[in-house]
Amino acid sequence: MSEPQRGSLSHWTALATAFALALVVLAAPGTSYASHDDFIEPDNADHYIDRVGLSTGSNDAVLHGINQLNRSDMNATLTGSGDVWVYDGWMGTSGDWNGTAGLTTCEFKTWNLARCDKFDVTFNQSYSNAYSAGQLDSLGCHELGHTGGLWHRYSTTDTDNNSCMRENISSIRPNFDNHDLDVINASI
Amino acid sequence: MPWLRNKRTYLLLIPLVVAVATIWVLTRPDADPYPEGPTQAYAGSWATEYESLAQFVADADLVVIGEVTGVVQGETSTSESGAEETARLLEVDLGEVVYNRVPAAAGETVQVHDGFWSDGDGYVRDDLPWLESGDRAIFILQFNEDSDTYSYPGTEARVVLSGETPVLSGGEHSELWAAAGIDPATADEAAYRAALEEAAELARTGAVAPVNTVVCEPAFEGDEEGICVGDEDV
Repeated sequence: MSEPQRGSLSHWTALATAFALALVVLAAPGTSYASHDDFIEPDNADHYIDRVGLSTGSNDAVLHGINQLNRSDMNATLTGSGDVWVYDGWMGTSGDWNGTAGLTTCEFKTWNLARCDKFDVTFNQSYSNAYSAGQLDSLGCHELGHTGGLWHRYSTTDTDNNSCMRENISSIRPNFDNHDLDVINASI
Repeated sequence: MPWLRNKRTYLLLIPLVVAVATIWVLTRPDADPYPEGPTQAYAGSWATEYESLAQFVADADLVVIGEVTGVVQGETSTSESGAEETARLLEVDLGEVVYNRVPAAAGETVQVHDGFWSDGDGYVRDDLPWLESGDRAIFILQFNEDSDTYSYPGTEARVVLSGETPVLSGGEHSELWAAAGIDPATADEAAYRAALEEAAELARTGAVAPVNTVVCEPAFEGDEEGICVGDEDV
């Protein structure tokens, strides 16, 4: 069988078929969730953040989270739309929300599934409405940190106990530490 | 056929094939709304920080060694973003009840939240991989009165005992179990049982009390502030 010559019709047909096949393969369902090291990373450094009818406390949390992201090379802003949608609500203390103050998911991934085009963040007022200002800062920093591609930190990986990315919300950890900032900067 | 040798045919056909493939990819129907494996992770922040395994156990409603006998679809709810989410529930046969504050006994079956499905994706939380039928594990659980189900109160709420070596959720980053003398890399089932029994005894005798986590609920429709009380005071 002779190989298609560059520029010939069969060459273009082969290219189109390959493209279509690649799309089909990429669209096939498969495990694409994050490893233990990092959450899915944002598609670029610009982070347009939408607040959807937030309560005062949740709004304060978001503003602190934005300030923290802007300590990195990210450009997080309320001007523009479409990268991070932030909600809050009385999510209750049952099911997946049991013990959970905030939750982040990637709603839309980029075409190759490698990065996240649109994150959803939800604060659970069933817990967060009882939070102090420091705890709200920790919550905002934590959830917005996930949208910067950060995963959780632990006592084993945050030995000086100063990262808001620890699994639990605490007013003594309201900010990113330098390691968090390095991870964000390396991913964008 | 002469039209097959016509270059214009291909100039029309190629973009058409590409367009159809692209549209199919972007709008394809999900073949299985409840896939057997997780395809997305979600990250949650825990509201309560426990100081010890004993406190974690004391704050639980049910601590058991049980076996997963089935996976079923739970209730479907709508998230704040408008997505429909269906709870993924494990049916767990209770083997040994180590500690309980609810009337659940060995031999009964309970349902445990273990991720969810939404829009054809399976969502798995943090360091809590989905369990499947046949898995045997230590479960540290809190009761959901509204749905008669149970939930994990933290990452370290589960130790899978099915394999050769027990697998602690949160594994290498264990804080509560590690402080109780467990090295997740080497501990066997007997070591986990001993640590759990010691923690349960402290909870049973009242030497360690549950955490009084403050929870809030709206007093009326549209209430943004809500009324907040300790969950142990309710």
